Amino acid sequence: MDPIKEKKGMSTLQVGAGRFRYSHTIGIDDFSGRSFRYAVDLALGKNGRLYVLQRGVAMQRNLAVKLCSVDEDFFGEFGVYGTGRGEWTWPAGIAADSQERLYISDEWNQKISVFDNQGSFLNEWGEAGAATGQINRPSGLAFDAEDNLLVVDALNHRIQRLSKEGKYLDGWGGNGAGPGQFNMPWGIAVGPDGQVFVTDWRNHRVQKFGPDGRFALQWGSLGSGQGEFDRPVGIATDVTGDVYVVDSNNHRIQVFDGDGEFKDQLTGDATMSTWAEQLMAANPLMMEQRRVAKNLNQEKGFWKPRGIKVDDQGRVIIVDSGRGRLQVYQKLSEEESTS
Amino acid sequence: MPAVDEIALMAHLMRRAGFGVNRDELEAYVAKGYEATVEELLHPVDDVYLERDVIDRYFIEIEDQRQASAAGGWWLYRMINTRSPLEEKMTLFWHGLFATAWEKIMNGRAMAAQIDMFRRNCLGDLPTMLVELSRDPAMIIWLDNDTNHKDAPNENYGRELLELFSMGVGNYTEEDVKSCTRAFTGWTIANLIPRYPWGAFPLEFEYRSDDHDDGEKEFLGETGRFSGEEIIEIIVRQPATARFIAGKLYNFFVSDDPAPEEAIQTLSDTYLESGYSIKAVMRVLLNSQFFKVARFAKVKGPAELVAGVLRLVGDFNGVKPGLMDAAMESAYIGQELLNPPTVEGWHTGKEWIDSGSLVGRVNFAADQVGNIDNTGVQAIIRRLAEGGTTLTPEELVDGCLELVGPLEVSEKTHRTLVNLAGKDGNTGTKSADQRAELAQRVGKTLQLIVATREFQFA
Repeated sequence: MDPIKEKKGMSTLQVGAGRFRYSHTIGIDDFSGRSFRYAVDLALGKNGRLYVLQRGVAMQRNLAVKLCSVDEDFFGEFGVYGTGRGEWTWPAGIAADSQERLYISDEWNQKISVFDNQGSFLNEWGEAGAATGQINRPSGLAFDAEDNLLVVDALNHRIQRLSKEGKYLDGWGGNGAGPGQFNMPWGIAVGPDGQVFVTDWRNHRVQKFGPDGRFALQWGSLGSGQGEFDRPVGIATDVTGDVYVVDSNNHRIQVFDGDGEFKDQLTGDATMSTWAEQLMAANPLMMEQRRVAKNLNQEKGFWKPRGIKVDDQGRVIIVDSGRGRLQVYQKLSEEESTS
Repeated sequence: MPAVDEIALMAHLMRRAGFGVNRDELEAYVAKGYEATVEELLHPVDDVYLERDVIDRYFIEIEDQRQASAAGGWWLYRMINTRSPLEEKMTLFWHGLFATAWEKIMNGRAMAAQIDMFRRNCLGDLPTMLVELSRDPAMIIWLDNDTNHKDAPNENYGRELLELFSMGVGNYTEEDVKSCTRAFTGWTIANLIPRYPWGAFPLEFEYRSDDHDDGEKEFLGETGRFSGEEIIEIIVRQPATARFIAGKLYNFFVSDDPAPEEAIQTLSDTYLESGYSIKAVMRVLLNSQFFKVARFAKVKGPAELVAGVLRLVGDFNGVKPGLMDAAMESAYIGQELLNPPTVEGWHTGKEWIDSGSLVGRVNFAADQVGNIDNTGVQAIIRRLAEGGTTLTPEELVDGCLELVGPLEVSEKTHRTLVNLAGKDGNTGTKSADQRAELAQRVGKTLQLIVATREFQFA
């Protein structure tokens, strides 16, 4: 196969139990510019716009939010390494509110910073500690139906609901492995009926809560079988209420219904992205390396995925963190998946 | 209270078989006894306490290990926080002996996997280590064994296995090199995936029987259709191999000077009699008189110095930014972990020191010990404050020398330190103001101590 003519965006591959079709790959792994380096999370904007948060390499200070689209447009990036206002050291989670303002958690600076969708700094808040309203290593973020911010307060092992100005509203959790307790939770998502789903990272499980934070159910334990997890990270829901869990150390995405019944899994089907094709076309040596390569099939799989979102068109966008790319799948309708 | 000699001897053991310990740890080891401590060092414990999952969560680049600095950062973290210091020190020994560099491999994951392999086998037997080394993807690329084919041999690995890794030049013939090379044809890489566009992939070993030269070979006086494993079986039973390994271990753990014949004989006999056990050799070495009397007979390597200082001051005991930068400090003073300059490894002993690296060493150590907020420095201040209501300059210097080692210094160095400390007179230890002044003076005295010639020695 011509090394840069690997088809993209035209796959008819139905994967898992046939409920998804691999669509295409976005990005390349590189240090700067139109690329990703240790992307950890993403937020969705209007018209297919994506805000991809990358942690970058500490010594290279290349953390950023990369502005791009699900159709592989690249619009730019913003982000400054540091501890000052509007700067980040260990950015972890990103969420967009109803007006597409971006909220970014920082696990080292212990704050939430707010930007407009062009990257202009607006505000920041957060105070380190364990008291109500304080935070300790905030990670996943999600907005509820009232546009309040749910913060995964990882080292306090709890969820806190805050106003967009950082005022404490309510919260739940505590350290442990019992129902409603957490051990360093990571990701959070709000379902179509307001239910809250949390990846309980070190307990290798997902917990579901009512809109008010009341414990509803849990599923998962350490392992690699169906419904088992090895340190679940990101989590998302779609309009039907299905739940997508980034099972990071198992390098896969598991899909469940809203009651935790296993439905499907995705393990990665990456193809050359447009950005990658253009990079290869400009670098004959890279093309030659691909020509003589062995076992390129290994490139397809996820490697330490971290973030995930599903847009209103059923496009599942996965932050394939260890590979510097996003993989996109299309959820199929009932008819499509049975045809 | 332990005798001074016991403390000094245990400190010596922990510098050489590890990266030094703080005073509390030192006294705990002394209470266990010397031989019991050696046994403990020889039996590494499960490293679950290091909480690798937490490290990976906050240091994505360490989890990814694509760059030497990230893999080196994780290794430095282990050196600082390990409860099995000899395991890390032995790993460093093997890394120096079987020197493989990121510069050519360009795949941090493969480099990190090699270091893990060294750690896994660090106190095992030599044949297992050499077989795993020969299968190691980073080594295969480093010494071109992926281009060592049945019909087109490449002697690079076969030659270095004999010359630099096991026997030493003068103990084999050119014919032996050719036979050794032929035995390792077909030992190659299964997956060569370019770095672009998706980054480095873990490399996998593959044995290809269709590319292996299965013909008869003459090797070190024996004849047969030797495989790579069989070649290693022959290598490890050679007296030259026993002496080679004995000499390398002596120079790494005992002294920068050439090993005396008696020590070589003792260690090589142990090697052969134990069935090529590195653990057995290390047990004899660490309990030997020649080891016990060799205090401060070695120049600290850069990684030893950096890890030792960070252990002393209590930094990086948990996740925080700057770990990879700390690992690079070792590179700045001459030893970039996972990236040795050549297949010969680093030139050690006094060659670690030049005018640039000496300044770098002193600056790094002085920055760390001068930070009186560091928990290890605070512990030193606390111990000194508990010693009496007033400290004379001499007591301050002696107390600091004791608590950073104990470090033995020349009379001239001691006089200089006391004179410098004496400019500020005595210091009290009880009131808040006195404690604040004491803290500052301890920080300054420690900075002077780490700038001495003696501090550069282990």
